[in-house]
Amino acid sequence: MKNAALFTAILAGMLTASTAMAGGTLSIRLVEASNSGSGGAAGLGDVIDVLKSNVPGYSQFTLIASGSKSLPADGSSIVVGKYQIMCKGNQKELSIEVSSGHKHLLSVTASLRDGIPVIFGGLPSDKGKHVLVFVAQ
Amino acid sequence: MKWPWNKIERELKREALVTMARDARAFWTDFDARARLRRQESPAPVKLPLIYGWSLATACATLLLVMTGVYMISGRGETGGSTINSFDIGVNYRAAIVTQGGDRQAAILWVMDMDAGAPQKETL
Amino acid sequence: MEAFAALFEPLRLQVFAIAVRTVGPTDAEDVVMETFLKAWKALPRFSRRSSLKTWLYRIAHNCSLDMIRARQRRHETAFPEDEDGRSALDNVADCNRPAPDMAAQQVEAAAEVRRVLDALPDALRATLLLRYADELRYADIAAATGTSIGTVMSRLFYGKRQLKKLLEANAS
Repeated sequence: MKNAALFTAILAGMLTASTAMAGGTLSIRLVEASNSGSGGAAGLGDVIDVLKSNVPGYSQFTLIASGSKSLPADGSSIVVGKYQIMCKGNQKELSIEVSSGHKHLLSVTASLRDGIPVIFGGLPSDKGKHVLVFVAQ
Repeated sequence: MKWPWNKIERELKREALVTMARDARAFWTDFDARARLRRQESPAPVKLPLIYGWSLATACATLLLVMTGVYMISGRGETGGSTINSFDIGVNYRAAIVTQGGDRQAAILWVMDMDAGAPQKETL
Repeated sequence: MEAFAALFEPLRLQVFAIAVRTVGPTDAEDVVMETFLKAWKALPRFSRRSSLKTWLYRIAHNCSLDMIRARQRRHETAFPEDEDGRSALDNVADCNRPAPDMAAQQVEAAAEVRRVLDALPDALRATLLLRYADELRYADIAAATGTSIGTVMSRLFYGKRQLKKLLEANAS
């Protein structure tokens, strides 16, 4: 009886620990792509090369706002700049919805590798375009 | 003297450490000797009574199975880049491109002439 | 052991940079050695929740803190001056001495930046140097300094502002 109780206690503790250890963090950054200003790439060191190579027609990238969510995401929303962003699921199958005000802009499902960004670009902004950068760690 | 940020940044880059680290061979030879010493100094493992040992072994085996499952579900350890599996744009737009960019294989969805006007459903 | 060395050698300079920026050059080599010894011991328990690099940088940060605490117990300062009264940054700078053909103005600019950096709070200085001199990513700096990416961004923002402000104040 005592051994069964000990076994159950150890198992429960390890299962809880394993669940906690499975999570990660999703960072979300709102970037303005433009051709004006000094456009210092502060806060974008890990993605600036990808942005410069793959965002058509813009040479300057400025971090406007950022946020993060723990993974797996529970379907709640966060505000990043002027966008409401809802994320649900784990990084292998992550659903993302982007809205601005009451307007639903886009929904995406993506699979994220650690440290490798998923980027949504082309949202209109004053100086050029807004780009949303999602990175899971 | 004026100090625009790019000038300051140039000076900061000069502070990069290029010469102070020890030679790799010397470092790892030293490391090897110290690691061996630490192994000799670490205390002998405590032996659990057999009955607790079996409980712990079973719990560890179960944990290993659970963590393998979690690891597989979380997608870590797989090769390749991030991917966009599907998308749905809720407003008018001219065109959408999904690309895989850079040697790190970032996934990019670029929407052209996105209009924050009347909604139009378009789906991948 | 050879596999361990092959895996971690590419990160040794960055770990050294973290140690120098946190404890200064005098004890940095000890911190680097201690970091890799702890990583060697802990590697079987590495859970892959973070990247290997982030995990290693966290160990480097903790070893740096241990060194600082040990110094405090010996009543030494965090960035001790040597017997000639030169600061830690001066000693680091010696190893990156300007090339003989550098213009006098460039030498003066470098020295001025160094003086002002020395005057900044440790956390701001370390973050600025890890980012702009050592070119660590934000996540790596967060792990190396035991903080969050948000704090790194905040320190960079305030550090840059303060650095620029002090340099321009000195110039005027």
